[in-house]
Amino acid sequence: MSAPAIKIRITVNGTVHVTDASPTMRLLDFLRNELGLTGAKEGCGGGECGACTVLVDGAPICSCLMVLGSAAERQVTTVEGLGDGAGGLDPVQQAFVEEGAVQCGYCTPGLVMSARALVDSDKELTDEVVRTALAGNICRCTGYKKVVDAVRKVGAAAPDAQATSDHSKEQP
Amino acid sequence: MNEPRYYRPKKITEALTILSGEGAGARPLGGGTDLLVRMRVGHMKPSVLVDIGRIGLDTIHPTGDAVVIGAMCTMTQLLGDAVVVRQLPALAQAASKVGAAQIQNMATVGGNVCNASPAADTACALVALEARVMLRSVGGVRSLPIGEFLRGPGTTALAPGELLEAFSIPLLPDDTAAHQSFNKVGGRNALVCSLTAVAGVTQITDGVVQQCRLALAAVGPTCLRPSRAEALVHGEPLTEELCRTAAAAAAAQAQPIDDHRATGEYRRRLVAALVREHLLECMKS
Ligand SMILES: Cc1cc2nc3c(=O)[nH]c(=O)nc-3n(C[C@H](O)[C@H](O)[C@H](O)COP(=O)(O)OP(=O)(O)OC[C@H]3O[C@@H](n4cnc5c(N)ncnc54)[C@H](O)[C@@H]3O)c2cc1C
Ligand code: FES
Ligand code: FES
Repeated sequence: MSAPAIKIRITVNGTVHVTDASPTMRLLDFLRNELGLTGAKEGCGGGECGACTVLVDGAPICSCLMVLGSAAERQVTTVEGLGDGAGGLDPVQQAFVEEGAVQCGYCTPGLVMSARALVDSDKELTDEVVRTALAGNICRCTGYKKVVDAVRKVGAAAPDAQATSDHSKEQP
Repeated sequence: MNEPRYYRPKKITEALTILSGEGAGARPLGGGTDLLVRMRVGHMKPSVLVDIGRIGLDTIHPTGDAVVIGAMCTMTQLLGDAVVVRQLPALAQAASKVGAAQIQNMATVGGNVCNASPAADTACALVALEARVMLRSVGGVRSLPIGEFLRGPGTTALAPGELLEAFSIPLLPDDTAAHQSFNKVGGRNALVCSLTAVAGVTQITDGVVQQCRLALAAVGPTCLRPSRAEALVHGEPLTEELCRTAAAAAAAQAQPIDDHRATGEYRRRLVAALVREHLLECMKS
């Protein structure tokens, strides 16, 4: 049991952090204000827009609705954790650039994380599958067409790059 | 806002001891997708959060004549479970309609039911599936039919200090003959609160309806079973005429309100359309 005021251990983009931050702080605030990782954005603060999307143990979640304590002992990946660590882009980011899927960019880190999780799953990237997977990410600018095209392009380019997913994601 | 104190127990017994010791200000924290939204807007101000994400309530296991689903199973987990997808398609379909991917990865089935929104999607499917809720407190365990657990908007039979531990969902004797569906209508396709949703579980043997259980969401203080519609089809072969009559009976039993999202009359029509669709599908397949 974790009594109040115990240190929290959390792995963010591969680095282990042990922190005194309040366990009821939102994960979003911890990432942005404590770690300076400002890729995840606050849009609505209520789970509706997806701008705050990060991966926890590989699954996209809204970091505005998760408290830091719930993310303890887990692996968090933010948009800053993608790519090769030397400035090279992740294939999803590269496809967004090539397809022109970014306008103002506010939604982009969240969209990229949702897309990354989808590409890592075993799903076939049909138009419908991509649109369903990205339905929790609202974009005010692009109209989604180029975003969907970008994600499908990643799937088409690297069918073998589909990493193992920890559970089969059957659709009813 | 005063920050609540936070506990993350590793065992259900620890969680129950904390909940009973801390009294009325303590709240279980599931996926947080309802609770954190309510805390943010000030509708709820718990003094203590008991995070129940690490106490092992996240398993799904068949027990022969039933399936036991832990309260902390997420929507994504339900969708990835072969037993749920195959034997409880109404529940799987409902889970697939909750929010979008991010919400489905966080939202738990126990939280959906304990939150007691009349529009809750998996709660509606569980009412049609006649699930029992299994409750536990330091004093012991008890179980109730879900219809008795859900009392009204935001109100359940949960006693102070009690946790919803699991759901037990009886399988139909011959589940291959059970037609199950869950359909909801909202203002758009994704991320939307139901204007109306209907779950149906119908068993037909030799062309005759053995049982038909319907659940209507968002058209009453809690999820409703339209008993008259169910009785009309019971023991009968389905015909188009009967599907229509039963749908009208269901609509007549709905108690929809007018609000900013839709009029009651529109919701009543949706009930009729969705019930008829369920029955027609059963008739055809
Ligand atoms: C953007 C968005 C979209 C949504 N869309 C939908 C939708 O389409 N359909 C739908 O039905 N819902 C929807 N919801 C509501 C919500 O996601 C679901 O009701 C969800 O299942 C709640 O589960 P949770 O684990 O997040 O609950 P929490 O927020 O953790 O808890 C909800 C309540 O239940 C209590 N509680 C939780 N677990 C237990 C337990 N085991 N025992 C006792 N008490 C418990 C908590 O104390 C709290 O009062 C949406 C929410 C958001 C933010
Ligand atoms: S800021 Fe989290 S979903 Fe909008
Ligand atoms: S690019 Fe502006 S919100 Fe998506």
